[in-house]
Amino acid sequence: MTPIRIILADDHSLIREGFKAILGQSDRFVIVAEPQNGVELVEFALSTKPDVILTDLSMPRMNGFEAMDEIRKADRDVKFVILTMHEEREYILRAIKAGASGYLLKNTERIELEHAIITVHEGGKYFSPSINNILAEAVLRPDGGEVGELTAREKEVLELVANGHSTKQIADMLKISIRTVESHRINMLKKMKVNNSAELIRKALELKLL
Amino acid sequence: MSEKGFKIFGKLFISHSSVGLIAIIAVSVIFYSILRVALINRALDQLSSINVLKKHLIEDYLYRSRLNLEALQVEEKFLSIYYDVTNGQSEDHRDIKDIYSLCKLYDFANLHIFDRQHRQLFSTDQKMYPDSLLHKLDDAIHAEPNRIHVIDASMNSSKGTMLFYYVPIVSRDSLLGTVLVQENFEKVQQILLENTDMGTTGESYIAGSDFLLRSKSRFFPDSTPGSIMVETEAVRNLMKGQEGRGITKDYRGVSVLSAYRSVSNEDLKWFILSEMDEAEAMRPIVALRNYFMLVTVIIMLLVLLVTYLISNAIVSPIVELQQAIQTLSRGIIPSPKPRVYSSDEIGEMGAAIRQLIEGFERTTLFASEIGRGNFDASYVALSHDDSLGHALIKMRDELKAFHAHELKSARSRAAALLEGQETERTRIVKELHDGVGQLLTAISMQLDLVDGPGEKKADLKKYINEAVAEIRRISYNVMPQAIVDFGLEAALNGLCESVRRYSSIAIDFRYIREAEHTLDFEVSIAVYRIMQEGLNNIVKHASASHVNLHVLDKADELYCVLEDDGRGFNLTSTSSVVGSGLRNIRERAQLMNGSADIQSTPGHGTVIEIHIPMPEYVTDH
Repeated sequence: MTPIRIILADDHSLIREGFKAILGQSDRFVIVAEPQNGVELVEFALSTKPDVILTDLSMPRMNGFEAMDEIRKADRDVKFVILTMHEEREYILRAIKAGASGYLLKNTERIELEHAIITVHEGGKYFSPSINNILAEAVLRPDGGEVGELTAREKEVLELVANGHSTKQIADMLKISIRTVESHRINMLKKMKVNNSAELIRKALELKLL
Repeated sequence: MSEKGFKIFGKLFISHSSVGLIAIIAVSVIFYSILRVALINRALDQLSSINVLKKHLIEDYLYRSRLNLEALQVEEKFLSIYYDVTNGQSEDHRDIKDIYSLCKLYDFANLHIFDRQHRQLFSTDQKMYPDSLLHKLDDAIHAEPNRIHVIDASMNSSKGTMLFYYVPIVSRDSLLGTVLVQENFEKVQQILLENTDMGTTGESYIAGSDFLLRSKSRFFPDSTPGSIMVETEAVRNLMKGQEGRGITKDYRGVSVLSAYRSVSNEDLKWFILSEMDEAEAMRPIVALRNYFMLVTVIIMLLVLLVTYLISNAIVSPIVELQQAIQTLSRGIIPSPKPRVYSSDEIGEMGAAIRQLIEGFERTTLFASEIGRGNFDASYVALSHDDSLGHALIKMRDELKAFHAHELKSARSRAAALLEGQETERTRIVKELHDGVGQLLTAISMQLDLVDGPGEKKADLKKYINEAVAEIRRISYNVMPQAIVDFGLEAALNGLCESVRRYSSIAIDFRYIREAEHTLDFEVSIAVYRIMQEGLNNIVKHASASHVNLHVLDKADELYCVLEDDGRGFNLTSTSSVVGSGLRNIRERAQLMNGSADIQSTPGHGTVIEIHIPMPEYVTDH
């Protein structure tokens, strides 16, 4: 069985040593390069053609995202597994967008790490359970479903927004506070499941609310 | 009323009232004088006509008596009586009886017959005449003994005026004797006293050339006329042959109106005077004068009143203006402003002073606005040459520039301080995260490679993971990596997740992107810190169950609302911890040229609104 050729990119030597030691316990993996930053990663990735790249996201000179973009421009087949301290939604989503097939936190157990590398190498995806939770939440957030009814006052505000009036003008015209106008706007965005006023107006036109 | 005001008032008052008074008094005096002269003339005319009347009556009377005597002489009545008497006829003789009848008829007092030797042959009374009278009589008739004479014998009498007619008894051109007929002077007296409407002091009287009174004085009815001297100017004039009239002193020394004439008689040198006390004659004019004086006083009072009102009307606006100027000169704005009464010069002056005060007021207001730090206060110069106004405008502009510079430098100092702080935090976080965190992670990994009981290793790894998580939490608080890598939305999202994780608060986080721009790190970190502070307060103090964190990222401004349904607080009596948190929020917002509006009602939660204007903090892409 050919071992899986791995590049291990991290700017901390201790971490590199740690992972090297963990992976070295199994002969299924062979580490072909250990770059310490994004630029080195790109170089080694293009020169050594690895199967799987284990990489940190925060690295000097070039971060993980940028390096992933660079590498994928030249090699669409290489698989990425992110090993990071970050567990914020943005990092996870961004990494997935950049082409990561796996996302692990650095305190991951050996078994899980090996499982993740193998899964990814075989064309699958792997996210540790805590990451999965965050992903699920992220996906659930802009929840689809029924569009809510707008109140008369909200429609009034919507019309004025559509006519290009500023919040201040609308507040003056309707003799209400700026906060009330903004809260109407935000409530409408919530109800119409859209992200901003432009989308709101578009959707309102589609639904013939305007 | 101030001293100056009184001076003007006094001048006006005195000049106005004196002109009025002089005019009234002059008119009164002229009227009075004219009327007085007219009255005197009228009275003198009256006296003069009375005088003439009396004179003629008396002259007539004397002349008639004389005519009667002549008639008796012509019919030789006295001659026959003389013969009767000298022939020793008794009194019962017809002729002698006739004498009594004659006396009665012609109203003679007495009749006496003398012979040539002055022996009394007959008399109608028993009175004997002194020789002196008869001698005087001789003297008087010496030149013409054969005609009838009128003899004034008052000086020889102590019983009043005695007037005699001397009638010679002539037979064939020789003088046989004399008839003396005593005139009944009471008749003359009656003529003088005849009612001719001469009031209470008017009288006509007769004086002789010896300056003695002949008729009875109205004022001294008990005195013998001959005892009263009439040495008056009128009589002296008459002695010089001057008849006339005028105001003069009478024999009492009283001022009288007098008309005087001589009695025309060849034998008598008598004067008849008609007089009236000036006081009585003047009585109507005195009444008139009193009336004039009363009217004058009334008009005077009216003049004073009108003058007072006019002077007051002229002076009071002046005084008001003067007081306004005085107040103004002490640097106080007069209140109320002087009114403008009229459109005359004083009115124009008032308007000018009003304008001055308004200018002063405006300038003062402007200066105090500048003093208060309102450098946007506007000011329109009072005129092209309003030097104070221009100086103030220049001062304002310089202060404004200075203030702006101060503000800018203070802000840049604060910003630099914060930036340094954030840089320092970034460094600390990096060291925590990259150093301690990675080290702990590495230790955890190495633990797998160490021989030992699996249970023990699992415990150790658990502790290490907790330490890593703690470091991550601390790091995120100090400086979220996400804000550096992904910006405000990611950072706020992380913040909300962190709050959700460590508390039971439900957060509705919305980041609405209305504009395609990337926020500056400076703005991002400011908003992040504000929301961090706000959420921190909510978690620690608010006991809220639900929080809205909404961000509207618009082209012109960033608008954020953080509202909770917690217990709220009283803004005026807030604890120092919350208070300093709120102050931080405001200062952060102001440092970005924005504003923070914090509203809280106990029991009804808290709302923090942030407005941060965009243009200068936006980097266009």
